[in-house]
Amino acid sequence: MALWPFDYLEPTSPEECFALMAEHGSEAKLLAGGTALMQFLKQGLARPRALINLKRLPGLGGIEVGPEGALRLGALATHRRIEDAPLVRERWPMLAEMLQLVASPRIRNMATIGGNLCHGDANEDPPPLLLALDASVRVISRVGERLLPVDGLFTDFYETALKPGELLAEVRVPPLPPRSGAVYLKFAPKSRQDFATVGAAAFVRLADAGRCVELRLGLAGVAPTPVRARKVEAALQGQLLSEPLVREAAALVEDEIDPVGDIRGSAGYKREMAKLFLRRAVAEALRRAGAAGPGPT
Amino acid sequence: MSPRQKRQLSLEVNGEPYELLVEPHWLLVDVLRDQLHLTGTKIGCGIGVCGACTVLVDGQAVSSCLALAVDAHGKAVTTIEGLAREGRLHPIQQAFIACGGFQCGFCTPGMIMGAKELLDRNPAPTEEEIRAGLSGNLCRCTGYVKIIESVQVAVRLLQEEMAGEAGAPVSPGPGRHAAVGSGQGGAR
Repeated sequence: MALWPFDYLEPTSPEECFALMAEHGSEAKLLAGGTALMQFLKQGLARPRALINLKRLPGLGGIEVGPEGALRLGALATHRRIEDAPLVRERWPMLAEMLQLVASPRIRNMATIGGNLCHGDANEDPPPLLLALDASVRVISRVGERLLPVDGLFTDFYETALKPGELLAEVRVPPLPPRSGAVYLKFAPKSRQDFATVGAAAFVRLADAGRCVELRLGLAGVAPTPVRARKVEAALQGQLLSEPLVREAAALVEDEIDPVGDIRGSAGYKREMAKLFLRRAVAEALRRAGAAGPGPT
Repeated sequence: MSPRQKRQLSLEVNGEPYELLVEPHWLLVDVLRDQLHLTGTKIGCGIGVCGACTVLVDGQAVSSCLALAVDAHGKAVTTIEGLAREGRLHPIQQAFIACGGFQCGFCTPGMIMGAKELLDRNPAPTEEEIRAGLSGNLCRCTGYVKIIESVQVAVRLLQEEMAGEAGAPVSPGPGRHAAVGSGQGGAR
């Protein structure tokens, strides 16, 4: 399966990269790990005149903690390097767990976290958990930089809020506060390396009385973009999370999602699985936060 | 359209340095197969799902059907042809033969390269870890049972090889054969 020819540009500084992006505009695609882009090229879904390889840019592959205590993942950090990093395994273990569920070891060796987010694929595993963890991205351009919540990054089917000339440089994941718990559950019944039929992430933080004072839920595979389940969140915020309450609230997700039936399940099935896996994710996040919590659902 | 300029590609393949001229849109798997005639690496799905094109780049398993050859500049690539040493098959290869870990053989080079990375990272994996480590390598013949067994036997062969190297000098030939024999016995 040969590719259409393209020019291959390898900037070694951000300035050079921005100049090439300005020069080639929409005729060029940015190349990071390439696992998603190569498939698009092979299937003719994109036919760029030039690829701008980002891998020679300095300082985009770090995995470290920033002064504010947040995990900072350079956009070019591969899934595998992040899941292997002792720092991540110790302090953001749910992130390492989630990454181990992505595709196959081979793909994780190649695919980068920045590329994953910029691809804007609603079926990917990292976005729901990053939504639940309230992560943000640092975006750089010729004119400066801005921080953008992951919650505002995905705008439509394979579309993001990045503007022409902007480069996603870093993902920032806040530290986990005391009495909090988070998890990503992937329901992929066909094959381990497949996309999820439904993926559900939950973050909960409890107050002393056991009430839920902070909660975010993210979903994959059920809408044109990765989504928060805001109605479900609103119904649970500030509550003592009992099993019947979580069950009732999870049913509200129905109005917030728009799954498409495909080889991984019918639209109706995905709706039901979204409810089920939200319930399970909340229960597991509660367990991790140290609550008695609702029992198994 | 003006002809695009070929680029210099310097890389190491199976320990040998190569200087090649490649076009930017050429895939690593095509350069390995068509330029270097290393046809052990197979093309299956062409979209990174089946694992038949698995090679190691700087020790990491990658899908060579999704990698641009130019991206391998300055790197060390290992293919299935690079595993044997001095005419002797690698212990993972020996184990696949001893256990019948393949039938048609099309997935085998990728399967063995995937197993190589798995055992380099984790020399004593559980069965579950083997299944997870090879989750992206598809086989349509074996049903995977013999493949999992092959990797388990390879673990023992590699351990015996290391013990042999660490201890008093032993004759590697007979030891290896004895180990393969016991592996077969264990598999049945």
